[in-house]
Formats: sequence, structure tokens, C-alpha cells
Amino acid sequence: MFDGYIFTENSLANVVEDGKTAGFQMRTRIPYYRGIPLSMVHDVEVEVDGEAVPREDIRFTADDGEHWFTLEEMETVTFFRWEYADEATVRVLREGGLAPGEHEVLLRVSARVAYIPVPFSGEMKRTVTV
Amino acid sequence: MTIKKGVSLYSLQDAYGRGGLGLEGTVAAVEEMGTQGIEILSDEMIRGAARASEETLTEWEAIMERHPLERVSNDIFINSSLYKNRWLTLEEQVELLSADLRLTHRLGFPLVRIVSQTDPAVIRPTLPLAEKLGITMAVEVHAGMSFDHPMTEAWIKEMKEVDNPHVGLVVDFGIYCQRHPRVSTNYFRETLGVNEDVIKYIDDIFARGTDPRQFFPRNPENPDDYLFPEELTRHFRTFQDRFYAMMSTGYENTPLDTLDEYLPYIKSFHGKFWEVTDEGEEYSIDYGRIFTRLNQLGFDGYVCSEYEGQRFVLPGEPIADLEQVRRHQELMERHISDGKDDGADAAQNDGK
Repeated sequence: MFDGYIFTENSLANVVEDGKTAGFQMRTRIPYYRGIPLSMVHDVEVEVDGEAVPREDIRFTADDGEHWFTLEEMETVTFFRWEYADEATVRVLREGGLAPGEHEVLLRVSARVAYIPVPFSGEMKRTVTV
Repeated sequence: MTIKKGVSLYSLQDAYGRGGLGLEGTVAAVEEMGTQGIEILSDEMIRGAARASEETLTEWEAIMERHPLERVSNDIFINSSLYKNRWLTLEEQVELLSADLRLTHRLGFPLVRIVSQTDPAVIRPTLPLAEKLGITMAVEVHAGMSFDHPMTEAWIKEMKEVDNPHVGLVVDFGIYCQRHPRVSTNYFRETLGVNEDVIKYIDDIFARGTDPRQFFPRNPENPDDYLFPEELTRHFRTFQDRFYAMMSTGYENTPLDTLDEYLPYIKSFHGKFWEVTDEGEEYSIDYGRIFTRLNQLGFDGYVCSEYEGQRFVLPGEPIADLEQVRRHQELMERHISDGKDDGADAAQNDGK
């Protein structure tokens, strides 16, 4: 029911740093109706062409890159919030990024909310051309 | 003694966020609809929430000066699931609630709506602060967990024991559904392929004048676990069919007499709606019936539009939240005097 907020259209791009393609990233809205501390982001999952990206290769920022966190670090991040109005960026570290051509990329974001025993999730699969 | 119309900004989360209206744009939009009051979720629309900057708080005041609507309620949540590996202790929960009470005071709201299933043990330790700030704490009585749910019952028991005007209830009209919301049914049908036999079975439960929550036997160990009868489970072909049956327990047809019993404790209402039809009525909830009872009981306070249909808009279709809230405000305006002794509607009703 929050699927429509996940994986902003046309937001996927390779990330070039110091002349090298270090990975790729995409933007997403929160699968919930309010802002939450980052520790309540239960999980972020990415699949490329049906293959899951290793959890430790994912980086996350909810303030436009001012602070980046690994998913493991995020479990203790109670100070910084993902505001409802803001898009977060999910980056996948991968040398060379996504190869030119068409890919099926799935993004799934889950949040642990205050009073529902199971996390709220949203997911979206997009066919992207790099 | 009168019912007043408000809008919960929850209704317009899509226009606010994805639609880019922003806080002032959202407040201005509801002001134009002729509403009298607003309800906000500070975690949703006040940047920083309990740690909002002075700049954010000053901007909020300026917005309210430009759009002078009555501030009805701030809906707050205690983030008990803040950490992945444990639930917050009671002391930690009290600390978070206290921070939200202070924020609510700064934002100028006299009432906080506390989310269903909140541990009532937070009441006594925070009551002195709530009294000092002049804020009332009211738990939401929400469909799927209304008056007979153990957590709601526990809150009510504590509320009666402390017997203080700063502790009460916010009742959600979703507990007075007489049909399963059609937009929800359609969403499950179109996106998840839920079996028509399951859909009909649930609709028939409502047609009998009851609801799935009362109809299905419950697991005595877990009030949120329902035992579905074989005549239903034999229609389950996929997990989605079971999921639909489970989700249907989130709509209740609670007897209206509960209003008579609890009105002294009710601080405000959520005018829940999923779909205002082209005929101008809510598909599942008979507002005329509820407003008639509220006017007969002499309710003096707010009913705030709370649009839930945005969850069931089909993928790729636009969310018509502004249009639906506008229609809902018109619906409430038409019914606002239903059941009043001196109103024209009452005269009409007498003739029926």
C-alpha cells in the first residue's frame, strides 16, 4: 500500500567519484505516513536482475548526503530523522556501477512503526536503462 | 452545543509530500474548504518533531497567523520500537511522550491523540506535566482494536481510575462501518487478485449487521489472531486471500450505543472515510446516523476528516486527496445538524 512511494522514477544513476564509477544509487520516499529516526528503518533491500545486493554494500542518507550510514550503523541512529517530506538516497557500492544496458532493479524499504507488530514495507521494481 | 468540522492533515499527506504543497500550502488548502479546525501529526509535518528548531516553530506560528484555524489536536506516537533489539522501557516511553507534550504546547494544541495500543502505564507519570501545560491526552479508539480490545480496555480502566479531565478518548468513525470499504475491496481485487468468494464472504458478514472482528472466533491467547471458519478457509487459494480476511478485521460495526456510554470521555472524533461517492455520502459509514446520535447526546466538539482512501488508490492512478477531503467537508456540513431538536433536519427526520 506504500509501494507507490518507493523508488522514485528516473532517479537511478551510476555514481562517479574521483573519476571512477563507485556504484549506483536511487531515491525513495518513506513507506509510512510520518518521519522516523533512522533506527526505525528496519531494512533496505536491493535486487539487480533478480540477484540480491549484499546488505553490507548498501549506504543510506536521508539528508541529501550530509550523513551516510551503513544499514548496521543505522540501527543505533536515533538522532537523525528521515522526514516525511524528504526523499532518501540508497546507494549500492559496486565497482563499475551498473553496466550499460537494461536492468531490472527492485527496491524494498521497511519501517518498524510504533504500534504494528510487523514492519511496514513498500517495494517497487523498475526497468532501468543505464 | 454543536459539532464542528476539522481536517486532519493526515488526509493530505500525499499532496503535502509527493505533491509538494508543503505545510502552508496544505493548511491553506483546507482553510479554503471552509473548515474550522485542523489536526496535525507533528512527526509528519513539523521538521525535527520534538527537536524542531526555533526557526521551524516560528514559521509554524506565522503560518497559523496567516491561516487562523483552530488547533484541535496533535497526533503523536511513542516510538517504542526505536531499537531493533528491544522495546523501550516505560521510563523511556514517558520521556518521549513528555517531549511530545512540550512540543504540542509550543505548537498551540490543547490535545494530543495518543496512538492505539499505547501502554496506559504512561498516564500517571506524565499527568503532572500534561496538567501544567494544559494538554489533554486521549488514546485513539480505532477500528480493529476498539472498546473490547485488551489494550483499549486497559487504557479505559486507567482513565476511569485517574478520573482527570486531561485524560480521555479520541474515537475514530471507522468503528461504525456498516460495509467493507469498496475502494479497499477493489484494491485487493485488482492488485492482489483476491478471490471473489472471499470478498463476498466478508461483505455478507457486514450485511448481517455485524463485522468480521465480532464474527470470527478469536484466539484466547492473542486478541489480534482470528480463527477463520472452514467455510471461509476453503476459499483461500493464495496467501493474499487470507491477508484480505485478516485485514477485514480492521473495520468494525460497533453499536452506536457506545457513544452514549463513552461520550463524557470523548475529546474529539476522527471522521474516518475511504470514499465519498458521487452521491456525496461515505460508502461504508452512515454519517447521518452518527451525527444524529451525537447531536441528540449534545456533543460539543470537533469531527476531523481523516481520509484513508489514499492507501487503496490503484498503482499509477492519481491520489485525489484534496478532492475527497473537500467532498467530505461538504458531506459533514450537510449532516451537521442531523438530529438537532431545533433544526430543519430534525423536523424531516420526525416525519419519516
